[in-house]
Amino acid sequence: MTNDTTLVAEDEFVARLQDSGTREKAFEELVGTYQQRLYWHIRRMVLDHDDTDDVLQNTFIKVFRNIDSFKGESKLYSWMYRIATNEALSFMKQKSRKLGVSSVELQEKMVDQLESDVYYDGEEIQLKLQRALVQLPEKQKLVFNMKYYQNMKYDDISEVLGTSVGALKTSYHHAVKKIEAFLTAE
Amino acid sequence: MKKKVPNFKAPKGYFEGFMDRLKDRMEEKSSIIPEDDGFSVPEGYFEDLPERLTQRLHEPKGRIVQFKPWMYAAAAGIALLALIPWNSGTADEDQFDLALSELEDYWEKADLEFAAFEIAEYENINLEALTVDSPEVESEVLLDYLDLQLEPQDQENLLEEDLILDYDEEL
Repeated sequence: MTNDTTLVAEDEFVARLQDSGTREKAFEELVGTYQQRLYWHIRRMVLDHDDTDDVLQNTFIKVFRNIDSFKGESKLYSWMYRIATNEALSFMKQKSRKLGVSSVELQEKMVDQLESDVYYDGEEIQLKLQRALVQLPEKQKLVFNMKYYQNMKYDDISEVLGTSVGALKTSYHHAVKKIEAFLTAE
Repeated sequence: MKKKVPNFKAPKGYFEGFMDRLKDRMEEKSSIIPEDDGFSVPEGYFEDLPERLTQRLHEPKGRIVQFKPWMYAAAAGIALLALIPWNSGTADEDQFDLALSELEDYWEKADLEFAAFEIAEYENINLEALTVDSPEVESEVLLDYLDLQLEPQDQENLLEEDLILDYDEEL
């Protein structure tokens, strides 16, 4: 019953987003509802606040300009998470190309810069955590952040990443073990 | 021959609740990994964002060149022509090298990729429908099989490739 109600509410909301007369007002509501969740999802991928702000704005603008192509066969939030993920990955790829460094080198460089970042309050253990995350395959890192720091359910992560819950659990388990090993190593 | 009965006993109901307890443990937060990862945001950032976004939406888009599929084919053709070793004898090799390096540079730096939902706009196809609804082998069974057959590193590499492919397919 609750699911049906939620689905109906989402269908109605999407209809408002797709109607040019109600689009802007509905978009404001959409931003208000999802800005923090998407911000933290992107921030943990690109690390820097200003870069996150750029990617987040681009994500919402893509959502706004492509809402007519949304067919409602997945949930709205998972569609937005996928756009955000792709935007963040593309951003990092372009940045590493511009600087002429590999993806891992770029991430290592960005972790080094965190120490002087005014919007980073982490101590030694948090910095070590970021260094551990750089060593992980991109997907394991994503699954770890979505589960550990965003407290997302496996079913929701599965819908965003299009991966089975079983595979996600395996991925998360490997990620936690590797991070723990890294953090306890001398 | 008389079958020996083990002298050990498990508490009543132990096995009924085992799976749930195991799942709870798998969900537990690590005692080593910090719960706060140290990131913060400028004060008032989230209050200002909706207004800044609305302003950006009303800015003129500027001149956007919409790439069509035939443009990619044309660009690829030009690149192939540039790679053919011409034997005219009069060509200035420095000029040719320069042009080639510029092309290589462009190819390296230009972002020619676009998201799947953008492709869907051109081709009018439903990418969300391009998924396998009923795979012949259940993914759990497949994972168990891989657990037995593959080294841990190979399993991870395989999962990684699978996940990356999913991105490309989904968006």
